[in-house]
Amino acid sequence: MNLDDMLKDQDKIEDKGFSAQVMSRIPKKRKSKRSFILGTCLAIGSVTSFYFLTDRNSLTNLFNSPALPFAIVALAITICMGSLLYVANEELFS
Amino acid sequence: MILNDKELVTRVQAYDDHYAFSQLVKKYQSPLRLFLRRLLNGDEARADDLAQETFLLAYRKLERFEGRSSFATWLFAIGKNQFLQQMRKSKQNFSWEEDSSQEMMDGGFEDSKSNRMDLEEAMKVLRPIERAVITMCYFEDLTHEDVSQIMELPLGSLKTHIKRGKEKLQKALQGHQNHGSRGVKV
Repeated sequence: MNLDDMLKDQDKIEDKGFSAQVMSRIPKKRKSKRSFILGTCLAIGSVTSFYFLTDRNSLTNLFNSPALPFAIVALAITICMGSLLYVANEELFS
Repeated sequence: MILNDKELVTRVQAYDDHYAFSQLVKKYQSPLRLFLRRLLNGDEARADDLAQETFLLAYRKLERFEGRSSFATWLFAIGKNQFLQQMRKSKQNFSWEEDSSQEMMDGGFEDSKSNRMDLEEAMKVLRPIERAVITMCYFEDLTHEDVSQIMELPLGSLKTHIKRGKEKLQKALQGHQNHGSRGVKV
């Protein structure tokens, strides 16, 4: 047998539980905080916008639909807070 | 769906995907363990411990892996450094260029049952640097450029080590053949 062929045909080492052993030693998965952050932000945004907008007719009149300002402000607050917390989460848990 | 190394690495980096990392471990466990076994003169237990440490370190460092080289190159570089660290701990005067403690024997290997075993025995007459580069250069996923990067060697020196190592292997395996076992075409 040619030496090159022998070297190309190098022994394949059977796994025999090696990979499982490595994986068992790997630290547990970092808990993703993303859904928690987004859920919390949405809740805070909803409560805040509801509090500020329910008795302010002038703001409500700016929009055709009474639900629209609520949705827009809730979304804005959610995006702002969510972005800030998301970045903080990436920094803290990476 | 079969993902390539780059995609698997991205999944580990983005989602801490353990399944993706396990695919990388499964793919590279054999070449990495073989590489370390040969460097450690066939000491399977030590090589496997070192391979485990290499994968664990790779997992911890993966977040900072920027993909300038292939995953295989990066992993083998970690493996090599882990090996060197262990050598320094146990044997301070280790050198890649040191001559093997096993002399070039004229057919003096233990009687082996297969060419592969003959090859593993013959590997022991090589210097560590020759064993390392020959082993890596014959893996599908590593090019000569990758190996020169892992070993921090110029490409010319790498080729010289491969050539010398192969000459020694041929000589050793022919000696084995002359002693009545199967041989190797030069």
